Amino acid sequence: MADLERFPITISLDGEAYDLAQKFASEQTTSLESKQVYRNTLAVWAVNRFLQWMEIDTDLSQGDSWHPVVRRFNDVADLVIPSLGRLECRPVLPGETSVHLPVEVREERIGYIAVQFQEKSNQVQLLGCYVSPETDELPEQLYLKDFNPLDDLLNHLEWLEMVKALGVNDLREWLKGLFKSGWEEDEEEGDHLVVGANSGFRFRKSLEPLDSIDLGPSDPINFLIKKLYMGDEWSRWAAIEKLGRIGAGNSDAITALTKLLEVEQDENIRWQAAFSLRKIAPSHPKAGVKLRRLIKLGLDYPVVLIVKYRSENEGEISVWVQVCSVMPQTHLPTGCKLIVLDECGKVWKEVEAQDKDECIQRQFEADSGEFFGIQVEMGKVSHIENFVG
Amino acid sequence: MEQDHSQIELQSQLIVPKVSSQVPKSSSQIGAVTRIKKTQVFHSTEGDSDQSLKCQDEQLYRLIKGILQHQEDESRKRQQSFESLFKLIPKLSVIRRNKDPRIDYQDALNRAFENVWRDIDKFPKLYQLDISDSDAERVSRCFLKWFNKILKRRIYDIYRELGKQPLSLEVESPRLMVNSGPALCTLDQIAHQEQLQKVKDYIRNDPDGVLQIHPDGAPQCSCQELCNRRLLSEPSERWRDIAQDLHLSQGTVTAFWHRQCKPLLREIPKKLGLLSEEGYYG
Repeated sequence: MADLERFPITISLDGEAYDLAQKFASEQTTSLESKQVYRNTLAVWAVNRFLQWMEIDTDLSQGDSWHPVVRRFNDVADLVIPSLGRLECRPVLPGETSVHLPVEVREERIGYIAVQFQEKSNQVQLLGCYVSPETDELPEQLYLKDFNPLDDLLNHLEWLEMVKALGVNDLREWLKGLFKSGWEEDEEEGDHLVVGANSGFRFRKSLEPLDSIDLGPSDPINFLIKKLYMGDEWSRWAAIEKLGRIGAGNSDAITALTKLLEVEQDENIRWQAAFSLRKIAPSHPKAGVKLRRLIKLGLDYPVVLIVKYRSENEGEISVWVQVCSVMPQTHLPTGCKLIVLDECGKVWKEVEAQDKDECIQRQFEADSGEFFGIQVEMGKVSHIENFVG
Repeated sequence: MEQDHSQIELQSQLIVPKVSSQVPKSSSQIGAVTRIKKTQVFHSTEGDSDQSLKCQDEQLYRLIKGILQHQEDESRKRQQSFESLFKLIPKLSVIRRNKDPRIDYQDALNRAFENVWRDIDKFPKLYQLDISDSDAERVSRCFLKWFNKILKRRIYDIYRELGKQPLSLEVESPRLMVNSGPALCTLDQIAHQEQLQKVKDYIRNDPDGVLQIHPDGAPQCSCQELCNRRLLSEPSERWRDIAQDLHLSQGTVTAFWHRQCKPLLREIPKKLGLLSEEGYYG
């Protein structure tokens, strides 16, 4: 990308910046590390100066780059934007065409800013930014040609601020175990709830399908992996569920479930594979999460809202929402509605409880990053939860 | 004097549709603003008494409320409140100025006004304000913060269009520095090696027993364990792998690290007497 298009910002470094860099650098044990810390400090200082000019709140003191112990061990140049996250400010030396990302800075970053250093100059240039992809792994090298104008970062920060302020439930954060109060993760698949709409197999916990499987004598995980593709939907489902219970941390089990998610067509099987993956590898990007919360529609009608989420290929997500009566085996009030709202708050999908429905549900696909709302309505009372996929 | 129109001729330049040239009939709030003398309008807060600041807050609050409580774009009251708001803003001393002659400041203001006109309904949520139930001082403080941020972003856009640098490039105390960083002499290196070794030993041995804290119900995820994996291991382990190994969600592990462990680690150099005279470990 041409420099003009990218609009690099030149920042002058003053005495305070050099003093800090000198201090932090002097704690290091080799000249190589010392120079690295020196440049990291100046890079963070320069980005901080720019963001302050842009009236964006920052907190230098919360960064690992400012932490007296962490910066001795890790090659970090992070800057905290309070309540939004961390930016990584990576120094670029003259002649370099890429930015090296050590392991410790490839996670927990909103994005990366390339900071160009020159020999013998009191100025650095903020070349551009690279906003972190949501699920993909970051590589060890980021090429400067892949960096975008800083505008992208400013827009992204505005977007993050809005998401946070509007009280949107960020589904990708759910995968990391971060959810708003009121929500709790529901790990009990096959409780009193119907598994899959209209699938025809409802069951209650008392059935315990999982223990009906006779595990192989020596290697139960391998035995279950073989059963993933054998038999009817019911026994396959049970094998997947069981694998989630006993396969924690087992790499064969993780690989098998990931593979299954790639090739399987059956929705019930796919959901269960994603949930089992969640149990054995909680942060896996293909893992599925299921959360529930109580909603009071007036005094008389407490209901449970259940949301299941998993990410698909090519930036798509699958969402499954359900509203159930709180007590098992009781009915939803007739006329209770579950409505999916689009980005503009307009009705997108709608389902209404009929006589003797225990639950009503809808499944839909959305794009990653897309906003949508879930509205539960009973007469004149309604409750809306906003989401971003 | 009923209104102070003299400073800025905004009317012709406003982008807001259907802005009328008619200014709302006098209210006590508008009277309050006119008390700020012309000379003070663009420059400093000196001379603004607490009383007039309070009146400013009241007036801003009333105008914002006027806009937000009349939702339909066509509403006459909403229009009038916008109009008064955009007349008031340039007079407020806390609004960011830009003295750079390359920048058309009025253009930047108009762009910011357009932005406010488009997004004002999101403003209360951005700052978690309940407009009908917050005090005037808080609402106006948040609004001014929001407006300054918008204005800076629009000024940045103008610099970008011009291909000019937004930040002033003068260095206050110029001294030529080498950006490659300092070289350490051998003696320093040896001294720092010893210090680093002390920190490592402290983490490994945990003589004060402080690094054994862990999230509820997860003794496998002690602060010491995380230090070993994140700081002492070469290279560091990823949070994703650590969380997987410890059978916890990544959010649980990283929240514990940032909120509980890192503050503890800050104390280590002090405990080991590594605090320098300048106190820069703190």
